[in-house]
Amino acid sequence: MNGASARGSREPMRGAWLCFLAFAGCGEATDSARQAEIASVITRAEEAQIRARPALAAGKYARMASSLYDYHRGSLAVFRADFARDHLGLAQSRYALDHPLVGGTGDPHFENFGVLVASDDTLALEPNDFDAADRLPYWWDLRRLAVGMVLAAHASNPGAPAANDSTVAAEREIARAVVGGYADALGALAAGGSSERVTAPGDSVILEDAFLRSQKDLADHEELGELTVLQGNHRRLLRGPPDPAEPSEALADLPANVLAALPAALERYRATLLAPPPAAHFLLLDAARVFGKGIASWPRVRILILVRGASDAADDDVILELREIGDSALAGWYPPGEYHDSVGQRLIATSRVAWARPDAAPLWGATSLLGLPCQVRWESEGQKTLRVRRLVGQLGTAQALIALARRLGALQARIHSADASALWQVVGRDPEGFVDEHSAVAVRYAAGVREDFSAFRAALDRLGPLLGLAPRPEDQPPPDLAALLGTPPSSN
Amino acid sequence: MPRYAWVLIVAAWPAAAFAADDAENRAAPPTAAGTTSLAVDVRPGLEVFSQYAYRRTEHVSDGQSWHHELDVPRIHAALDASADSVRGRLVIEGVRSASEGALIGVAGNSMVLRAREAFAAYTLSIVEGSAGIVPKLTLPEIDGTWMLRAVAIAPEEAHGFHSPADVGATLRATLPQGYGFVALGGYNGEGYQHRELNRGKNGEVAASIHPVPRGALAPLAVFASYELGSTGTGLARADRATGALLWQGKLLRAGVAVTHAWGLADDGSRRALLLDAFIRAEPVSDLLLGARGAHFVRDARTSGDALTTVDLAVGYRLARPLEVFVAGTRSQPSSRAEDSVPGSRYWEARLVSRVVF
Repeated sequence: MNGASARGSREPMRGAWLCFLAFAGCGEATDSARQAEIASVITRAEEAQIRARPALAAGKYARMASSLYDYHRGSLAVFRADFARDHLGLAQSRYALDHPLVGGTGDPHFENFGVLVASDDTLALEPNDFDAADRLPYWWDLRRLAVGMVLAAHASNPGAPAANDSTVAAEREIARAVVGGYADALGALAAGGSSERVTAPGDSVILEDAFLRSQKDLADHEELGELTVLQGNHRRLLRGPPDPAEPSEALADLPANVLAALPAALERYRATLLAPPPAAHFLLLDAARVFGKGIASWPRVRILILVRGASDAADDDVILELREIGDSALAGWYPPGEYHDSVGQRLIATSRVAWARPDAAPLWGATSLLGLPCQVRWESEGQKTLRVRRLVGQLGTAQALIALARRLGALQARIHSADASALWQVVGRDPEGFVDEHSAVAVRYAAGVREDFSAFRAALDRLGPLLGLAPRPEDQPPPDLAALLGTPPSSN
Repeated sequence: MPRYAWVLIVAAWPAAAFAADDAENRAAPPTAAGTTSLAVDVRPGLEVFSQYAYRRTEHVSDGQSWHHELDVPRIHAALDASADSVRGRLVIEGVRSASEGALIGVAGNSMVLRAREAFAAYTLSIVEGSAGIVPKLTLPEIDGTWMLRAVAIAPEEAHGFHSPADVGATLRATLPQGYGFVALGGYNGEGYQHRELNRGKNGEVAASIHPVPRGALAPLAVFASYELGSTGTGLARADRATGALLWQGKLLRAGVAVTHAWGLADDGSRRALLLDAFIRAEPVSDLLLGARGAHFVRDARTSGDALTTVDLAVGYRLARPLEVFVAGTRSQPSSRAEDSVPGSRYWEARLVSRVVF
């Protein structure tokens, strides 16, 4: 090598080192690894949603930051990441049973249960959210449910510190009630007992409240009064906030192309029902985009549809809720990794197995709208969902939560009942140890969630309303999809 | 002018008219690829793996389950071009459009094409600079020593320690007389599959030194790399230190590598360790033997959270571009790891073919 070329080779090298050191210096580290992890896990799981519908995603994160329980509801991706790396011992169990994967609801928590009206008009407590339902390890569901009940205790009696303290003090008993209820019901099912359909509140004042209110509002068709107006002989859906006290929840006009697509979507939906009413039942009368409902599903398309019902009379009009659904994000444990043919099929299969009877909600079906997989169900005030905000006074006591916890634990066992024998082989070895272990993990992890809630809020403060992800102009959806997604009222 | 002459002129016109390096008095073509006079120096290539895999998964308390599947784990098409000191390379790979367990993909879950490498490189003396979607420095060196990607994916990639490529730039100085190379890289840090999610950029430095570049020990290489990085919108720490002893012979190739991670899978506080050992031999012409073992300590802060995998393979080169293998894998998790990743205790047998041009 001659001198010139040697010199020529060294000069770029020296420059390269300087560039490298400056470049690597751009790497940043955060003070809180957990804060960074929560932000990264959530944004990675929801990147497409954040990029395509930033205002809606920001609304979801703002909602998650508003309360501990809402954070829990919206942070299933964090739960999954924690399970995958056994954070706080979330995955480890002496009673692990990785096969068979059970048909589970994936995100069982207090507010994902409610009263449903079956085809014979009887009421029963059932799971009412299948966004994450899939085949999964049984203790995923069990621990998620127990964690949610502990967090519900922490969220109870918000204006009454003494009452809240009293309920929180019983968090271990509440978690034990969930797991104990699960174990007892599983034992009974494994012994050949029949699946219980929860048609009465029993000793649960929380269920008593839900059943009573459901019965009253079912008879009154309360939803028609709250969500529609009668114009002459015809009914139409309200526009704007149905409840002025909650302005972020509002109904808005739909674009014409969406309205035009709805009849075909309803026909596809009708075909998924167990006993479909005549096509005329679903004659489209009106439809409106709904903003501001749900937590995890906050950014998803949600439409209220007013249909004809059994007759042309306005008092038997029916309101349906059509809501976009996505992947469960919980599948892929072992081959084949995908356990359903489509999102709609996953919804139908998991819900009808999870319920005490397949017609527990006869108008619960699936469809697609402009390419988006969607769930359709009856929007009825006669189907009350359990709500943490009602856990005050008599409904927010430790005894009330313990009684409900046992019922929900038993109900979760029923949801897993197709594999009751296999599960009981593990659980039945040491039921008391089983209860000790799972309840201890639930209490420990729930404490972690409370810390995570603070970390999430700090991450939101530090990184901005989209947790640091900055959509670019090219991320915007095409105009027709943008019109369907709409703009939430708070962004106007 | 005879009529056929007009036909020839019209037929030849597009090629002449759209020569990007001859755009005087007219607009250059809207897309210039393939229109320059250097386009004749472009070399196409392809690599395809196809396999039949049978997996028997062992379960903690309830026997076994099995699954078998025909698959095409690698589809690569490449265009490579060079002129003087400039080089360009494009690699397109086929992947499933939805991730594992997802039902929503493109047209079901079709195979779609994405860019795996797309870069321009310029060589000045012993230094080559590359920019674009570039191969990173660590994984290609280990995988390039193994040379049996069809049989087993590198554990450094499988467990999320390293990505084979990323959007960024590298500078590589090839040491004279076969002493190896030293290199620097700067990347977005999310791997070539993802868009950038933060302001932090990753820096990587690597060196592969052949201490005795002549004689019987010429294949021996000592490799070391360090990557300073962050990942995700939360800027979770993602630093990697890798050290390896490699043997890069023609008939015998082997390596022992250790990688330590500060931060893994968006958890910046996690510490993980990966031990990787492999050997590839061609004891007689066209007979290929491979073995690889890896021990992955998923979280070094706790005890008993580990996953061990062993791959064995026998292959035969039927013709120069075509190799076939019989391969087997054993994945053995610790109890704790198995609880976190149900289904990770399994045996797998595969029949694999690899064609490369």
